[in-house]
Amino acid sequence: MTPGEPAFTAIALAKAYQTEAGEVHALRGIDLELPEGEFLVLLGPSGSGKSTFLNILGGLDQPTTGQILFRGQDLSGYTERELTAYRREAVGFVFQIYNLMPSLTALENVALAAEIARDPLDPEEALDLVGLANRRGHFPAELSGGEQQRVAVARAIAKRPDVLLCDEPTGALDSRTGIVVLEAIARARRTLGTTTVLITHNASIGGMADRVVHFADGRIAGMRVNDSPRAPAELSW
Amino acid sequence: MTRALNIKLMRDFWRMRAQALAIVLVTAAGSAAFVMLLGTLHSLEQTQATYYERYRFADIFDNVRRAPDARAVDLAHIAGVRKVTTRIVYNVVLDIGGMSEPVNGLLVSQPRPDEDALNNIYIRRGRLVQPLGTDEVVMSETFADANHLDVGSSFYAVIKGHRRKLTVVGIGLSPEYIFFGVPGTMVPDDQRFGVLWMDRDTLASAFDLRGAFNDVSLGLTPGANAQDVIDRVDAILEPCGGIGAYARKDHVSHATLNGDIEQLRATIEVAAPLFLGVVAFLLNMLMMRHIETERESIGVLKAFGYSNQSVAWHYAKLVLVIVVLGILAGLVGGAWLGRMVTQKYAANYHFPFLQYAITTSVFAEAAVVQFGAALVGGFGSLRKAVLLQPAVAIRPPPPPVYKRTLLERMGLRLFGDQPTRMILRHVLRWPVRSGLTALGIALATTILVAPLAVLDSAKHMVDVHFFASERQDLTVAFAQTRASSPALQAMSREPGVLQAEPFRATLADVRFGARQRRITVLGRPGGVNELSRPLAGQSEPLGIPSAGIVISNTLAEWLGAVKGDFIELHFLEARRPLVRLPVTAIAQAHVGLAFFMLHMDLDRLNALMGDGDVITGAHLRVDATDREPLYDQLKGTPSITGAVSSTAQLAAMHRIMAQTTRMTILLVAFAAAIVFGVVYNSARISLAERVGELATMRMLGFTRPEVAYILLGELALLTAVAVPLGCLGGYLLAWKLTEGTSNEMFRLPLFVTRASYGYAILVIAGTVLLSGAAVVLRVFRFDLIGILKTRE
Repeated sequence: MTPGEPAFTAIALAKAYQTEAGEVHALRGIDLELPEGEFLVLLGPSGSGKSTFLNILGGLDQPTTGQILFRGQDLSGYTERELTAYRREAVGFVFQIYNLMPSLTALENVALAAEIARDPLDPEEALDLVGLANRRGHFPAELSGGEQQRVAVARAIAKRPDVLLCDEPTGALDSRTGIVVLEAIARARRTLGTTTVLITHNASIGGMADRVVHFADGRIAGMRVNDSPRAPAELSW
Repeated sequence: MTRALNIKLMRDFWRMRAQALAIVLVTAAGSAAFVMLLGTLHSLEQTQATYYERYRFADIFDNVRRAPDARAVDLAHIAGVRKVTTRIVYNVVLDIGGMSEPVNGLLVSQPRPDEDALNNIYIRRGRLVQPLGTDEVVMSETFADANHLDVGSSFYAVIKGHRRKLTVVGIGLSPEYIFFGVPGTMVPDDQRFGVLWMDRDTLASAFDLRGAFNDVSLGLTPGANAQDVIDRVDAILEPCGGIGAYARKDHVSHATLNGDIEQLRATIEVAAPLFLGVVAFLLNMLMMRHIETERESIGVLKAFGYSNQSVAWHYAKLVLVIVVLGILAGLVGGAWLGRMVTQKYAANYHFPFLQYAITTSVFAEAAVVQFGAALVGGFGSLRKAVLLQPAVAIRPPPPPVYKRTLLERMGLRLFGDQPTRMILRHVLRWPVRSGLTALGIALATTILVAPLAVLDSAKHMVDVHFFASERQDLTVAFAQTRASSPALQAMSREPGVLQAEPFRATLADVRFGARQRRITVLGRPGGVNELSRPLAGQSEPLGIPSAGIVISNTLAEWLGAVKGDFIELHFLEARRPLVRLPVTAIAQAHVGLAFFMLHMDLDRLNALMGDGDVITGAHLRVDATDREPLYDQLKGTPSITGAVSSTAQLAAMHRIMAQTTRMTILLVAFAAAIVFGVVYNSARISLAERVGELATMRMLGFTRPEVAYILLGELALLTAVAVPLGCLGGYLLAWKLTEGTSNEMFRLPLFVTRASYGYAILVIAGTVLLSGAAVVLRVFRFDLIGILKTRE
């Protein structure tokens, strides 16, 4: 991993779904390069294709045509088994809904991901990074929404992923809590140097990114490089 | 409005067809087993009762050496006696074309045409023997069938030293000889033992019994005291050499048939409610859980403005459709299976007719219990769902709140990795539900283990009997006592005989304290015998003491005697000595004949009797390759009244056990169906509850097998807890079944092989795996993105 080298390269990436109403084109030819260590924010209305793009980056979905290269390897040719291994080793996900295991404590939820990784963080260290060291013994039902999402972030980074993919991580949270979660993501990224892609409807979150990409109708509608990214605490909405 | 709901109902039914089918399967298995078992039992009991009544099966029986006809009049005067029928009955050796082995025949005098006799004959084909039809016989159907004989067939019998040609004129059946075999054998053997009814006068001349009889049957008036009558009969017939009258319950055929039916009843009385109970419980659980998963739809319907009643009725219909289908399939299938099983039994018992009767109450009972269980289960949850505010119901139930388990709070750390921890916490979070699933599996295991264990016990009993205790190839019985040395020498000289072991069997009244009964005393060579010997435990042979006696454990229990006690013996033959002898050992007896048996040294017995060095028969070891000439020889020997081949008996025993095996296989199938229903539905519901967790694990990079572990691991854990309990339950049930089976004819010692447990565990594990795999396939087809992003 060398900073500046592309972590991902998307070449004419397209995705179409067959529905009863006919073909729906979620992505219509995306060409994009993501350098290692970059913090990219994807903005765009619902149905613009940004989630589909993120899912393909994360190995949850595969393109219909085009290529998606991860460090030179074409993910679009991966088998189900190879994709699973890719997710296991390289990818950390954070979704809008926290998807925590209700039967495991905060620490155990993090350990769940750490246990199957090759070179994981100590789960306690991961919790510490998101500022929840004192809540490690609590079950999800005993945590607030923001705390649950921070556990989800800790779980995502515990495996020391090459990429951290966040789909609307603050969508269900109020702004104050949202900022705490974004701070957790930023701190983790800083500490581990993880390439990070974050989807949001909230344009002001773009202020903390290295680069902001606008999606519309399955295409890249615009791109903006942020020369001086701000800290989450400086954001407001 | 209702139409839309009905369409929803159809779609729901179609959507959940796999789960519905599993519930239908469980319901059908439960009602089918219940109806089949009870139908079979009722039908057999009814047929037996009708058969006994129509053909006037007697209540009291006795054999005498020779009694003048006048004694019959005395017997008729005993209070409580309704009817007396006297007969002439003799054992003979037959020569049937095509059968190399000696065949034993019981000649029985046919009732006179004008006589309204007890123990009447049912003529299946042909006719009765005509008066003075000296060469005619009516042959028992079982024997005729086994030997491919029919009306018109001829064969030879050695009667009082004369070889006579006899012709079959009729094929008959009698309630008295449903099960019979050579006296002294363990199992009925249709092929080597037959009943031949002959003209009484012909038999009277042949056996020198004109104006006399040697067998008597008595019918009692209702309410008569059988024991009082027996005492009077004994008093009247003792001077004529009466061996002691006995009641119907001690009649070999009746006791065997009753033992069989009793075993069936014992099985059914436990198994039928068990099946129904297990299934009712499952239905309750499945319906409860099914309605729980429908909670959101119920909320939506209510939000649309459907009334509580119409929503409740909508789901009630779903429950009813599933249960009605299951019950109908079960009742029809059970009635059909019941008829098949009853026919098999009836054919085995050679009942002349079959009254197949399933009472409506059996159907009703099965239907009501299952309906009730399903409705209670379904409506309990339905009520909860319907009573929720639509706004609450419309949202999925809040995520379950987990806490540290009690054990963890007490300081115990749950071992293992996180997935294992998830399994353990999930199981402990819903202890009642987990317990019920485990209980379902345990009960199915019980149903599985018990019949296998009973079968094991029967096999074990046969093994002990033939391979440890009665190891001779052939037993021959002489018509009367013969001098020991010449008889043994003659036997040893017969072709193929490798070894001959003499015995003397004689009757004696045994008395200890207040207890007294008539038993067989066997005189055997001293020390440990090679061929036939009593056993100390399962297989250690007991030596015959030079002084003192060996008694069976059954006799010891009955008398209340222990080793070292002195027992009084009053012999009934020769100079009828009265002696007191010490018990030096107790032998284990499993088979009726050995139950009330007493072993002692042959020389000592002969010395007591004072009629010389004599024997009444011999056990033979025979060269397996050279049996035919010996059989030919024995058939022509007038002084031999019976010859019993152990191999033939073993084969007959195996034929009988094959029947039990078929029944066992049927029960195994039912148990497997139940396990499948329980496990499949548990796994489906578990999957529905945890779909988000499982999808998240896939997202985190857990492989499909690793995710399947969460579901299968839970099932495996519950199965692992349930199976030992089920095995224990099966053992206890088998114990109850074998206790229920033990009677004066058989005592089935409970003996369960590891293989049976292994087999049961394999069936359960296989079924669990199969049903688990069916659910896991769904995990493999997850729409990950859909689940991860839409779940709340």
